[in-house]
Amino acid sequence: MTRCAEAITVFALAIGAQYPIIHLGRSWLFFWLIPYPSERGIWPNFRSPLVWDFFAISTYLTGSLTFLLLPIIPDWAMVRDRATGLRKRIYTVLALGWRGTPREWHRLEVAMRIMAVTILPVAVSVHTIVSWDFAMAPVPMWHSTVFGPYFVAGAIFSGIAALIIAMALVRKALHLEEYLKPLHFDNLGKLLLVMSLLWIYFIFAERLTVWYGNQPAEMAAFWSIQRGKFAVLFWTMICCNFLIPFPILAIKKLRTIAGTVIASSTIVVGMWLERFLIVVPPLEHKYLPYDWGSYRPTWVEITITVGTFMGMILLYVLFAKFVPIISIWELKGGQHAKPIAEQANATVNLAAQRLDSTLPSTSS
Amino acid sequence: MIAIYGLFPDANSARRALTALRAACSRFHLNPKAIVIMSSEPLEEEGFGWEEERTLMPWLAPLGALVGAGVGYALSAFTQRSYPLPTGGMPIVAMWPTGIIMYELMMLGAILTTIVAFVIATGLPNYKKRLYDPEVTNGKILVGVSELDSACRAELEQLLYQDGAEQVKEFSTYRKYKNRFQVTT
Repeated sequence: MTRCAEAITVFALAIGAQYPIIHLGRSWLFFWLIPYPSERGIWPNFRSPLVWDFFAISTYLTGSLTFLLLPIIPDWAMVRDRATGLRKRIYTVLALGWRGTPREWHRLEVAMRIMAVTILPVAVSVHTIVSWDFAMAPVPMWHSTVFGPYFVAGAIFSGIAALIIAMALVRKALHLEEYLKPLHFDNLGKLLLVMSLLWIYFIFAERLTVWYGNQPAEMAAFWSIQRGKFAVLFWTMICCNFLIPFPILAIKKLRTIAGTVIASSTIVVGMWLERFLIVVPPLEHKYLPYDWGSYRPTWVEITITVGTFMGMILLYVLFAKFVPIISIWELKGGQHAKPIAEQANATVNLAAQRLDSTLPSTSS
Repeated sequence: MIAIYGLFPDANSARRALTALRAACSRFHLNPKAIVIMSSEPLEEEGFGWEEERTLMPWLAPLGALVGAGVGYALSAFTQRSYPLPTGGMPIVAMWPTGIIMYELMMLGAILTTIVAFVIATGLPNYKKRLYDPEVTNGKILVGVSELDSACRAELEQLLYQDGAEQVKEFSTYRKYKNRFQVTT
């Protein structure tokens, strides 16, 4: 499951990192995003959240890629030993000469532990910094302190939903029913339920604060979302992210594989709408009314969006094709956990028997 | 290098062979470091590899993090001083944004140090011909001796079989041995 999730993270980040380049217009000048002094002697402004983005995304991508690739090395070694011809050569290079000595296993596990500790704070920081791209700007409904945790919660929420869909598809396509069990979907469904509640709480807190403040520019954006031209999208978002998934995930009988996939599918749609509603309506209603306008996506933007989704699917399918999507060696370790527990129980019982046999003799 | 090794079906028989090999080190003039174990999964819980547990990796990562944070401060402070923006009396080197860069580079420092430490500690990548058997990935546990004195070959083979080895094989990096022994590449 970890590998399924990490692959989503890495591919989503890789695609997301292309967006600043796409939005540049003159994409051949992408290196201006990199913090170095240009030929005009202009240094990047470290007070700009866009520069923070560069560092946050680079760190997160490096960390996620490492967290994804390190545990794949033993699995690549396994594939290397079974493959023939060109495939064997390729996997021999990828396996890096892994043999499975105690030293290699121990160092791998230490590295994985360090990465597990490191990647979580980086994940929180990267989503917070992306939220600060908005929150640092004086735009109605963006300049909010709640944006940091709101974005972190949103990322976890949509991430779990995407993971459930990916797991269900992989399970069906690669016949992994024995490994990805209903229990996994049930547990992820519970987590999704918690995140759905957290998400609706954030939405309520954010909107209540804006409504209570009653500032004209903010209220213009607020009402355009609540009951104006974006109302359909807003209420669809509420249905997709809360009203539909909540009962499905809350009722145990409905929290099946099919149920969690349906809930996740609506959540992915809802979270996309949420991002659209964060970006577009406030930009249409900035503080100065002469700046107000309306937005309609062009065919170029629609094509880029569709291309992004297709790109994500293509990368994931290729990954599932060429890499063991489930960590084989971790699975083996999990299978051995039961006999070890049984062995421990047997040892404890034996010790207890010996103790019992010695007690009467000492008392007598 | 000539090596002899046995392939064991489970951890118990492999552990027995390992104990026997260690006990026989002085008898066969073996270097204890020449005893090799390989498996398709970590066997620390089974009592293998406890001697490998000492590593500086958990200490190097925080050290890398500190260096990363220092680089983050140096980069942002140097940049802000090199191209001072009008700040209306506020500090040129602003600590809030500098703190964010420091944090990100601190984490990057920890990650990169971990990668480098892992690569150095495991000696990977290594594409040289080394003692290995593909049966390891089929679940067999390899226990053997890598620097073998050919005089004690037969006794070691017997010892490995006695402790439950399913197969005992020989491995050599020398070409001349290719026809003499069963060579696994």
